[in-house]
Amino acid sequence: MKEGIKRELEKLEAARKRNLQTSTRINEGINRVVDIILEMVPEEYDEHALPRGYYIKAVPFDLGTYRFLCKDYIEYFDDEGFSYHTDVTQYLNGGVSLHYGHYMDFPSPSREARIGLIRDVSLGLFDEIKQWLQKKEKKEVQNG
Amino acid sequence: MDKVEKALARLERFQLKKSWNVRVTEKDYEAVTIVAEYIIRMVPLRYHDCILPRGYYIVTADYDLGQHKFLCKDHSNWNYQEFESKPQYLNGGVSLHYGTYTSYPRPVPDVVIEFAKDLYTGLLSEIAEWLDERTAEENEILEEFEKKLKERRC
Repeated sequence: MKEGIKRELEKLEAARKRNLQTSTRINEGINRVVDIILEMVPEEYDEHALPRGYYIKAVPFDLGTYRFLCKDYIEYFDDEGFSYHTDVTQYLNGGVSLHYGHYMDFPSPSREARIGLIRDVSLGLFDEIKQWLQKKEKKEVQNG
Repeated sequence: MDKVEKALARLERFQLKKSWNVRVTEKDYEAVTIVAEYIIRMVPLRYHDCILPRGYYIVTADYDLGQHKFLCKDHSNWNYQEFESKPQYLNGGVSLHYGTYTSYPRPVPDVVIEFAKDLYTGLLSEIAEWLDERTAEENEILEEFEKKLKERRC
């Protein structure tokens, strides 16, 4: 076998390793952000629309309630020459299967959703959620 | 890695051949499958809906036991006075059950030869560079993100 292709194989393996490190950083980052947001937002605001289209979905299961940080993304697909689009919920702390009578799957988020969350945090998502919460609290105080 | 190297060595002979004077044997198909599955393993899961260099892409097929990944490339062919573009499953040759059986045929010999030629003209290198570009993009976003997280902790 040519030496060149051996070198290419090594190059691809090295690129994969470098990407794996980034992937670990992304996953750790996402886990931390989801924990922070779930802690920040009280349970009474579950199912409310948070800034930038995020929302928290509370799912009951045999051992209690599982809270997911979600965002809907549009997905396009073709079927027999026609183009359709549909909203797909991305569970940012997904990748679990919960039992409540039967098993329900909550798949891992897509790359777009993960990178989207990281980008949103860089652009000030935490501050926006904080302001949103302050506004909600103010309104509640006004309404008694 | 050893298996992949052997498979690549087997495909080396296709480099200079034309489709009309070559016969793709069972072992060649096996070699193509090994290399295609190696490429799928090398491309992280989160890029499986992206187009790879030279028009290759990964198709995920659901079936009763989970998901099966195929490395594909579209191949155009004359069919009743019009061009027809069909996906070619490089690691195909299987039939998966999911309600009904769906077959994913083996690639046509032309595509096997094209794949072999691509491999020996830098496809793996291009995938590595493509992967590095994605890594760099993500690292850039991550740096800003980690700064924000640090600020929050302070």
